[in-house]
Amino acid sequence: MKVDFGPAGKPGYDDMIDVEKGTTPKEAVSQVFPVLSGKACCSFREVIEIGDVGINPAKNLWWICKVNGSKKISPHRQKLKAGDVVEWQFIQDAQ
Amino acid sequence: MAIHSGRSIVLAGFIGLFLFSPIVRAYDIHGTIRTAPPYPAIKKIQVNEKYRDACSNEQESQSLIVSGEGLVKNAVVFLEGDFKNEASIAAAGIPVMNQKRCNFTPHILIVRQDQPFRISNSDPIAHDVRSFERAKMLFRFEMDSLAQPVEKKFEQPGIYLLRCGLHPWMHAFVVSAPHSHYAISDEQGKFELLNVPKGKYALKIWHETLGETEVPVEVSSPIPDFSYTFQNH
Repeated sequence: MKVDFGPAGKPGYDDMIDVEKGTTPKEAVSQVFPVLSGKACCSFREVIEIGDVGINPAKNLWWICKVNGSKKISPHRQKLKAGDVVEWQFIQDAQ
Repeated sequence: MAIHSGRSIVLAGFIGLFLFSPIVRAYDIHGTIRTAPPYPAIKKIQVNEKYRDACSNEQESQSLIVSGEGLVKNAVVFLEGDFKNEASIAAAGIPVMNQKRCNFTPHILIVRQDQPFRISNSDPIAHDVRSFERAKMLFRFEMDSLAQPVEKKFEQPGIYLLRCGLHPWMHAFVVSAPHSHYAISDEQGKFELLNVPKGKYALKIWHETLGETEVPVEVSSPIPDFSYTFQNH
């Protein structure tokens, strides 16, 4: 699993982790950093903060999650399989 | 026995009203918001290829618009004070926040607290309107091209963010104002606060990129040339 704090400037994480069968990307990252849930878009189960680095809608700062390079997943629903690569990135979109 | 004519009584009544009514003196504040050099150019944002037909190849950032002379557009200037005796808002139509050429327009809309406003979409494509108060999302709805406007209001005073969930550069602010002494600086950095009752206030200046500050002001006569310069950007 990789966690990239990007513009927050905090040291990231890049290592293998062991998770239980059926674990989601959100549950996986919570094994490494404290995670805060909230509603940034569509569900109160979304990740709005990882390791004290929170989204900031006014500054266009967001957490995104990829599994095996794809963003088309739901981080609180997707069930991980052995060998999956989970990437959490803190990004700032231009505005 | 003294005999008064009706005219004398009416005149005496007017004089009494004049002498014993509190006279509220009010003055205008005119001012300019600036930033210190070097003056930033307007940032250009490359539009994702799939949105270029409707949104053009490039968008100008609305986050910081500074003229060649350092004059700042879109600063919100307002007074903090007790304006409880102020008359309530006149029903002069419903303010509108439109989505046009893949931008919210105006970029900042001032409404009175609890006043309904409309969000509309003039674009030939759909938008996904979301409102935030800091990290908390307050509402979200999708708007198809030329959809019927959606009416919203903010019950509490504050500066609320609007974003489009599809086009990441698209954002705007709705200022829910508890009184009328709010203004937005124009392209020349100019603003005016009209009919401010005599008194001492905190004059607050908020800009989405430059930050927020406050300056004490005493209004005892017109203030024709208030000026504030943001030092950092």
